[in-house]
Amino acid sequence: MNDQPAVTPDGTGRGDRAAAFARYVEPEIAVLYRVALTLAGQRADADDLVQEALIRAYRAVDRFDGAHPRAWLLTILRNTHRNRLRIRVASPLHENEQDTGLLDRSDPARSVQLVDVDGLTYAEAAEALGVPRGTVMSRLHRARARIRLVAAGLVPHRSRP
Amino acid sequence: MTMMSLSELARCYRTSRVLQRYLDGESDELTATRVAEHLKECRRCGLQETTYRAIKRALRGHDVDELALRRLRSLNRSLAETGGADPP
Repeated sequence: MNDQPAVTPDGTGRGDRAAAFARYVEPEIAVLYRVALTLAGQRADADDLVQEALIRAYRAVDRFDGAHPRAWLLTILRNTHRNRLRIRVASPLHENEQDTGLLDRSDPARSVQLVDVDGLTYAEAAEALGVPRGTVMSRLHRARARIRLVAAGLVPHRSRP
Repeated sequence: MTMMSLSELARCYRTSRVLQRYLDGESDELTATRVAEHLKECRRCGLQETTYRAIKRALRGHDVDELALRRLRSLNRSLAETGGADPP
């Protein structure tokens, strides 16, 4: 990882930073938005989440080494999402809501959504959820096996509370 | 009904353990070749493959809000151009 900030002739480094940002981030915006929808659940929240993640990415792009931009951006998106949830859970406005569940990353449906719906690889889904790749694999396996049984009418569909 | 041999059962078991990884394009080349060969000759595992492919097809992709994407791309460009400075 390159920790040296890029410096342009105007001394700000802005030109290189802008070029790096355009090169690494622009092609990933659609993926980021899809993943944000999966993590946040609501379009308005997903919008805000991606905006905040883009601003964080812009500030950090000088330190990014250029390898695996999608993984780098997914990590930023995940951390941004977690911070937003922590603030939300701590807010007195939400103290009576079931917000404790918002920090739950163990929902197998999210793995299915990230891989099958959003088109991420196992490694990318693991990055987005902040869990090991093997965990994504086992959750996918379980969730799809369940979908298969539900589709075959062998087990009843269990809706969320 | 024909009885499956123990070695056939073992192949089915090994295939079922890696089938989803194979369908996701996440298995190594050797495993992928072995699974593909087994699926050609095993009806039971072939049915599992068909089902999981159908599940993946049914779930694949969803329309994203084009307007939201345009807004985010525009924010991205403005960050790159202005350096994230607040407007005057």
